[in-house]
Amino acid sequence: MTRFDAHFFDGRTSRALPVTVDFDGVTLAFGDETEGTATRESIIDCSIDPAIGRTKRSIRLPGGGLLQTDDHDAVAALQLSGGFRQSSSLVHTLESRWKTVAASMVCLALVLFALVWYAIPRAAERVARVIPPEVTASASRNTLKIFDARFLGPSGLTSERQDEIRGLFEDVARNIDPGGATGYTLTFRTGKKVGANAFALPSGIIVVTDELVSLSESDDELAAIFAHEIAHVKHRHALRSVLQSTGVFFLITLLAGDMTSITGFAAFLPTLLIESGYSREFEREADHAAASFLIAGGKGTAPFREMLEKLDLSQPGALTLGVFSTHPETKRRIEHLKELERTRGTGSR
Amino acid sequence: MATTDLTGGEPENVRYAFRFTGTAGEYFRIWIVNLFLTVITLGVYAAWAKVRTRRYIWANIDLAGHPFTFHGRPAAILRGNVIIAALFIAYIATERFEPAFAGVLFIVFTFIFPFLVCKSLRFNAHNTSYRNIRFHFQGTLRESYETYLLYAGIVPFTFFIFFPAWQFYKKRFFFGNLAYGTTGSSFAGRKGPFYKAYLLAAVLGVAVFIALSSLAALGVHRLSTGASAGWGPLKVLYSLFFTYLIGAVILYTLQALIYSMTMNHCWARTRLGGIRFVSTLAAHRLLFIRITNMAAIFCSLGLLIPWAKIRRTRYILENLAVVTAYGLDRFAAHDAAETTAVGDAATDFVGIEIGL
Repeated sequence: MTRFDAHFFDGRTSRALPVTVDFDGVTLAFGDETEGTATRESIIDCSIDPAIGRTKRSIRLPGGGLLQTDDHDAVAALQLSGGFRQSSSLVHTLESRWKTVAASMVCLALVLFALVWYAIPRAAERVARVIPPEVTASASRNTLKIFDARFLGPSGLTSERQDEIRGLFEDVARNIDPGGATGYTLTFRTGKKVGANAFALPSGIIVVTDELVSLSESDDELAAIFAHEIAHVKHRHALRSVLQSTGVFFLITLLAGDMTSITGFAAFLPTLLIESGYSREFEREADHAAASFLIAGGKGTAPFREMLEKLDLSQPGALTLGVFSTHPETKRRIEHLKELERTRGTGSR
Repeated sequence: MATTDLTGGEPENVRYAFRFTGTAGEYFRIWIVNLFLTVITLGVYAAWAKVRTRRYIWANIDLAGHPFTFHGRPAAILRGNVIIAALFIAYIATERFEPAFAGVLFIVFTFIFPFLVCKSLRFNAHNTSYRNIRFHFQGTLRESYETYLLYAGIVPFTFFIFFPAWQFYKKRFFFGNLAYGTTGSSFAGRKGPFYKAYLLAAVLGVAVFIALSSLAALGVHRLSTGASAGWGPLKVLYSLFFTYLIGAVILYTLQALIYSMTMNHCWARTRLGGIRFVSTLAAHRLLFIRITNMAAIFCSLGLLIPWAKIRRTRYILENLAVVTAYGLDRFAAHDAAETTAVGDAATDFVGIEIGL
């Protein structure tokens, strides 16, 4: 026999009726014969809301009535003899012990790490392979339009010089991406506000500024830059970056849940950290492709290293932001290129 | 208990304060387990997690000794999440690949939004009960479109002078359409207090901005004239951090001010049968809680999010009370047959959360 105190709510009015419930293993009985509130219900016909924290337990009766009680032990006894299968009792067990909570926390950290550094980049790469390159065309055209309006001006190079450089560019493209070499076009601009610079748009348009051309002292130095930019396009870094940041956004949204009002600002920082990490990884990949191209041509990585150093000097305002930076530090990039040369030789015979 | 006074005098008003009994430790455990299961199921569990969180929060809201109950079913919330995810993916795809088409999508969203708001309010109200009696939301789609499409659309054309009025209409839509069982709410709020709150916020915002940014400029000046003048990484981070901090503090101040003033007014002007409400939120307390919460979340790398949420919820709820001379025992439930026929099926199909 289990006996516990509860409040009874009949479901028709909001009246709270204090009752003492007797449970004999089969039937719940409460109420007063003389007041006409006596109730008997078989436990089989009742349902018990899953436990959550130490909040009141609710027993729902077949007629729409409700018993609420603080007596957790009594409800546990009811559940046992009623043979209830609790769908969320596993979750409740996980929540009830600090040990399992700590284990969940460690697993959560590991899973998050694996998602951010392995699963999301791999998945983005797979998806990027399936999406046809044409979808990026109109976005690329728009980006170039915006850049033209804000930072760039028309090139001052003679058409002979442009054709000469274009010839070099096409050689590099054939070398880096033999199957899709025709998909790349070189465009010249002056970098009014951006100075010596080169960048690739996802549709295969590569923009190089006059300042960068005059900074280069040899074809090999220019070729190194082209190889780096072509590698960005070939490996579809722009598209992968969009997909990856969508993945990260989705993940952060899941973590922040319905608490965006509190965590909105706080979620901004990890997103920034993760995305600049992704960006640095892409730069490393493109550097690697450029180094491989130079080494295969017997040039060693020296032309690329010199170009990077000159670019670094040409932009004295550049900031070292460490973990927030989208590019690895020039010093690091140069060391990495030297390392590649050491392990694979300069390629010179 | 109902106070039926047999001596013939007017029944006396009794004040019942809301209490919040949730604890940070308990909620932290629920939160971690929810996150873990949500992440390993790639988001599918999020619907179950939301139900569990809601059930915990609702069950810890205590009024006159009895808790609230959340009845939302995970399947309905899952359907809502799928819709939100689909809209989100559509938005990302068009924004990145076909920007010209993004405008069309924006218009589509604008027209769906009032529908989603209405559904969301209905879902939340219908799935909340107290003393085994369900709440309802009686706002119509027509009102929702008026509030969230028509009035919202007017705002930009009035140089935002209409903005506080629009906020008022949003609150009126919510507070004026609630029902507990068969008892509907009535809302007699006015636009004046909204204009007062926004005007005060505007004046204060400008003052705080000037004060804080001159302080920050002083700090940057000191650093850049120090021994290692020039723009190093430290200085960039310093100025970024300050800009960010100034922005956040101003935003929180204004939000706290507007939230406390408008909510106190709305509750004071809402009646539910013989019940009236008293909300005693103070802007400076809200601001203090918000700033210390943010600092705690930041320093704990997010682990204190549950503690912060419990703390804010407790403050807001414990400053709310109901006052009535007739007790809380006399509310009647809707006719059961009526609600199951139309109400539940329609409102329980999709559960969507819209932050208002």
